[in-house]
Amino acid sequence: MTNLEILSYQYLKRNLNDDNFMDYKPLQDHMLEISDLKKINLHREINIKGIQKVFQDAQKTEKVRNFLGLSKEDFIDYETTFTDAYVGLNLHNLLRLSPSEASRPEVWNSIIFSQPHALQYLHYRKNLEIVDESKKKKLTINDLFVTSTMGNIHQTNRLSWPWWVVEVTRNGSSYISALDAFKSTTYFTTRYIQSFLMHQRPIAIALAQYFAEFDNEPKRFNKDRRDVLATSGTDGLGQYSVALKDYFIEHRLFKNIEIPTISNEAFQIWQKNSSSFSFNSGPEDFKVSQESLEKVFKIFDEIGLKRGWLKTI
Amino acid sequence: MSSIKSIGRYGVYSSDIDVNLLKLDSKIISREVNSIWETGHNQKKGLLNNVLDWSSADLEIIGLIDKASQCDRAVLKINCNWTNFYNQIDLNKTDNKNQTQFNILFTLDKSLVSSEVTFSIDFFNNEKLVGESKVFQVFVDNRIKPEIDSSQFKWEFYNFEKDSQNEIPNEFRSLIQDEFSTKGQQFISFFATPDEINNKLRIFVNESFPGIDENLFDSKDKLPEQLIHLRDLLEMYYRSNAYMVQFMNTTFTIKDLGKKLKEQYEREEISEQDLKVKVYEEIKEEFNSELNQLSFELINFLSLKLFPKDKTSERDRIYKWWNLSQGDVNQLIERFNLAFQTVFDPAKKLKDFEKFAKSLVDMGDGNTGNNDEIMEGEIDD
Repeated sequence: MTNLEILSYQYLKRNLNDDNFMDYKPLQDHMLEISDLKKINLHREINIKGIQKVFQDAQKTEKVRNFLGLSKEDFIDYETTFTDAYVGLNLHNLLRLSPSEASRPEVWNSIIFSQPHALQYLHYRKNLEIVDESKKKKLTINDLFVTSTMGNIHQTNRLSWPWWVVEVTRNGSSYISALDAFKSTTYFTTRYIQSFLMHQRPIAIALAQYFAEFDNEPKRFNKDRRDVLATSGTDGLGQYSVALKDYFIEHRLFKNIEIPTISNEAFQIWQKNSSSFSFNSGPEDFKVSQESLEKVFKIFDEIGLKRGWLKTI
Repeated sequence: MSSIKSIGRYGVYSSDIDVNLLKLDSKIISREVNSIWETGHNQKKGLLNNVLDWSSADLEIIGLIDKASQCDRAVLKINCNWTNFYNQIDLNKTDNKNQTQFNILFTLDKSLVSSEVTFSIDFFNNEKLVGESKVFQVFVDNRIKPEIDSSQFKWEFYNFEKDSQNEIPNEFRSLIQDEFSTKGQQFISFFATPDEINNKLRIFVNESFPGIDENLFDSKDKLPEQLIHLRDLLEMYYRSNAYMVQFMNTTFTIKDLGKKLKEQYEREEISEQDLKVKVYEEIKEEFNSELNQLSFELINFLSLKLFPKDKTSERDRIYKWWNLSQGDVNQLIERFNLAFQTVFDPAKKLKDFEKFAKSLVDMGDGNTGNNDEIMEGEIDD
């Protein structure tokens, strides 16, 4: 079977629980009919050939490290985030989902509950940071089942969330900025990613680059710098993207920054081609020039300067 | 398009946005599709969720602002939260008399969006904000259910008779004309249950029935006084039937839910409290699903009518409805009959009903009095 069969969200929601989900086997009765698939814009055939290998290889450290082209030193402390990057990048390139398709919980639940290797991977990922075997945790239905909420799809589920990080931060066909997003760790990939400002491609791509590459030093090593665009909340934690929002509210637009129009035609051509990953193998549906990104960096610098950040360098 | 207002507070001028649907998949839209789109137009809503099988929509976006604003730039912002989609486009300026007008054509690709897509315009003068439009919402699928508005039903007028100019839609023609009535004059109405395109129950009024036409129900047209009561009672008859159809259809759906839970309860694997919680969740899930045309809000509204004493517990009401549907359907129907009359209480809905009733009593008492006053009917649901 090379095409993903879409399981009924309601069937899974009603019938799976913590006691039975590991033994669940999809049956024809549980699939959505074409008439229902049309209603939710999921009638395109989604090729999943090779997906098992993605989940298998994601559990092999060397494979992940080599795929991302990282040294052992760079990789070791951030194994979880780079594992997410591996899964996100590969699923993005392999599944070739449109944003509309990827916004559906049915897609992610169908992958999770029809692919035993997906379950194995999610168990591996849940326990990746736990060294003591006796403390490793079992999967629960909540670790897997993707609910029909935006937060669960964009930010929580460990398959759909990395896909969305890649989608939001890729620069057209280039996945390099998406890897930058993961290098910036979860403060970026789960907290900044919630902001509506990330819908603007130049902002999302520039932020990923800005944090990852600023001063040629990975952003993740410098907490002060990462907080450049944050304000401190009442709990003392950084409220990310607040400063950016303030700027946007004041100016209404990011001045002189061109927002690219996405070419659906180019995207569909990419969808029809078979998958073969390289860091330049995404859809050529738009391109934000480096010149535009430099303009966004200047805006970030401007905000940082106002916030006193540059004084600390 | 509504008229724009003058300058507001803080030097920001009121402005307006309009979005017109021109083509679907590069083809000019039909009157039927246009009619669906127009349904929400006045509320700044474009209902593409009720149109199946389209991939791209060509839209015309128009922005208007008072000339006094000296607006020199208008920027359209398009956003979809579900797919993290955003676009920002400068509109083209086209002056007219008192307003500055901007417009642009935009193609919305369905694969890039889901649920609600918002369109809004910021107006600038020399980079300073001078106006901001309202938000025009375009719904591309049924992730967000339509709101319960003032009417649960949609009225449509057709001739049930064969070969007439305004013949009843194809899908119902054979049933009415061939199986039940060859001349099509026998019935005064027909009900079409909600489907993918129509999310309301439709009341088809038969204009072939002698004496019935659309003008009868148009409150703007003055009817002879002696016909108003008849018209209002007729309308009540239509709505009564429509409510019953809707109620029975909903009950059939509810009855089919929670079967496994019921079995678990009967095997004593779950408590009644668990059953109640899970059945409620299942029903809520079903009606929140975009695959079901009815909304959970409507189910909740109807449940309140059926169980008026349980005002505080939505869960209890829904569970009771489900529980009765499993066995005591008669009680449900009795409740519904009473519930309907609380909505359509003639004493409240028909103006001067009390005077009318008093006149009848007086007639019985031999006191004819004056019953010439108009009893204007103002029925809504």
